[in-house]
Amino acid sequence: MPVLKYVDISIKKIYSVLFRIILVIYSILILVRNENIFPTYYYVFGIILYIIIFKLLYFKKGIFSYLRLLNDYLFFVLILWDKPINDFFNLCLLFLPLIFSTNHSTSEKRASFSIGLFIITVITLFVLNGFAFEWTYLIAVFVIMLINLLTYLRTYVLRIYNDLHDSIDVFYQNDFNIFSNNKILNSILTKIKNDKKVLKFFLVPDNILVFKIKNEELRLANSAKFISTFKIEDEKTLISNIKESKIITNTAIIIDDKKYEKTISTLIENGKTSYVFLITAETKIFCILYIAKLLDPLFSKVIKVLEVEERLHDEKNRYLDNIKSKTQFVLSTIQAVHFLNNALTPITSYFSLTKRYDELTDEGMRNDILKLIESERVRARASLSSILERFDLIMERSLNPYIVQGMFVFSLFKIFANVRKVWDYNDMNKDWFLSKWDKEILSKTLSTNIDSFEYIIEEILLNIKAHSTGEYQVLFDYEDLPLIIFKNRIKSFDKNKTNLLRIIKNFNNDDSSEMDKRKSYGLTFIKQFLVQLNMNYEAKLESDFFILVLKFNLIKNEDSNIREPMVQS
Amino acid sequence: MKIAIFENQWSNLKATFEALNIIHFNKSAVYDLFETSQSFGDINNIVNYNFVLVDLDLSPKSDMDGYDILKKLIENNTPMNKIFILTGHVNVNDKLKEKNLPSFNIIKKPITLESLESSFGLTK
Repeated sequence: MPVLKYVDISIKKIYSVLFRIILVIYSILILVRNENIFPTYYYVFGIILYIIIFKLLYFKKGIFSYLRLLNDYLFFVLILWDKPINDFFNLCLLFLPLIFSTNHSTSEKRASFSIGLFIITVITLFVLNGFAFEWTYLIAVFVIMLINLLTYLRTYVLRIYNDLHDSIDVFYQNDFNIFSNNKILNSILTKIKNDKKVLKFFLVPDNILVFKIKNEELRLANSAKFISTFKIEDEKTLISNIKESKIITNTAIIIDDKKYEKTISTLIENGKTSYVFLITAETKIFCILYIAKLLDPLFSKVIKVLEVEERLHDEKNRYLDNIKSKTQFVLSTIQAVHFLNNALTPITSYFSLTKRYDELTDEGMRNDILKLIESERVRARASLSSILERFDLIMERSLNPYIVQGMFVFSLFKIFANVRKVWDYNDMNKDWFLSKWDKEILSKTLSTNIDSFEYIIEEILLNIKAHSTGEYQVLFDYEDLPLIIFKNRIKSFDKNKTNLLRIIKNFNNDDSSEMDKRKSYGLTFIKQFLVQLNMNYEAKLESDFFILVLKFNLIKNEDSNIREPMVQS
Repeated sequence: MKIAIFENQWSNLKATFEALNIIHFNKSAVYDLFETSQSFGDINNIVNYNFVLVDLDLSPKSDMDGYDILKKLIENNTPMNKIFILTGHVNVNDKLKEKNLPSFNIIKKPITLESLESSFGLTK
């Protein structure tokens, strides 16, 4: 339970007790001030019974709040019976619950309770007034009830507002898990949907989508409910209109082949970055401005969470780039050892021949060996120079290889969302992000390291961008297992074909270290990570397209080898 | 004496092998050099050689690398004492095990006249 709500409930509990103490003391004062029709012990017994019943009903919700109210007014009837009701001191007892009504009962006050309070006060007045209505009292009670109703509405809106903001606090306290901010949106969506009192008359939301405006395009940053694809027919117009008016209604959007026409979109700006929150609704949306005013501060907070995650993503990339350079160094060091052993041969050969020349006595052999020594001296000098260059290169860097740390169970939802996130992050064309994965496939699980997987995707997309003619796509497909197929039309294909074929041959080779000796660093790392993540892969050429297929080994239902699986969707 | 050499950096080794030829074989040894696996042709012709030296790293143009050539030689029942690995790599034996290949005679680079003599069982 959020702290503010907990404090509020605790205070109300104390108020409830204090209020009854005041009632009892005030009642005793009335008894002292007036002549009483019943014997004293009647009143003593009445006070004790009132306190016992109150104790039994103390802070119970629902019907018990009405029973508490009934207990209060039965007690008032006992105290005020046969006493002058037009006496201001006596009359005040009946009005005390009306005045204290916002505080004196359950944690969640209902409008119906205010009306119930009005009715029981009127009935009590009627009874105590000798079963006759006194209109001046009725008007006073009615006015107080109206004030109570308005106060109720105000506190209700404040409570809803606090509840929605609590979603973010609760996320940080309980659910904080980097790159799962959809939980905040989902919590907000659920809270709005579950409100059956006020909000339901204005808005019944189906989903909340957050878009980042990037290069005059909407990039999906997150959504309360998972979505595979979306299409806004006139995206450019929406962006230009929302920048002017901040709020747009009923922009049609197709989400996973379902069209939504009842929508509300609000623009949230954070520095130079602009976001669009789009709420799809099941029914017509009313009081658009009220809804927007209520949600905008909340959405601004959500943006902060998104931006924290984006910054963490940047940091992670920087870290991985650093690791990558170190891993490259390890590979180049291995290559360097091999290079040195080859390059040293003319030098070791030169000294070996020189030594043997001194030992030989046969003049003919000595002459032949001398010729070899002279030619080898030139080669040795050239080798020495290239060896020194390579040493300089090695000394410039430090060493620290990267190994995948820890595998956890994730659903393909997470895989899909991560690829899309990296795709958008790299400003890839969203029209070429295609998926055949349905919800059944998306809910399947696999064991992987999500950071390493994301690194693989980063590398693949960077390679695509570096070598593409601009025509590329990613397709989420399914054969015997789920696949991701990256397709890229290679620029200067004819010139690069031989090199590509060599890279593909080595990439598809089962031996993970087989690429170490080749200069194809991007794919070398991709391959090393894929092997560690237990993923199948294949590279191939189709015409001038470079195709890379990643295949996921899923966790089977009967697989019981996974200890304490932590499914993160 | 005929020696088949699968090597793509022959220029680095040539002088030492020629010195070996001058000192021990009276220039009668023939070194047949193959930079790629396909340039050798029919593997059955290996019987025409007294020794086979295989560098594990061949030219990228080569259809087979050194390990594949070793596999072919074993399939061809080439005597193990005829086969030598030429390599600048470390942990070659581990790599051979990974690839289900037996141990071979290894001539480590950088080579010297002495290391060649020792490998071929020749004395000064």
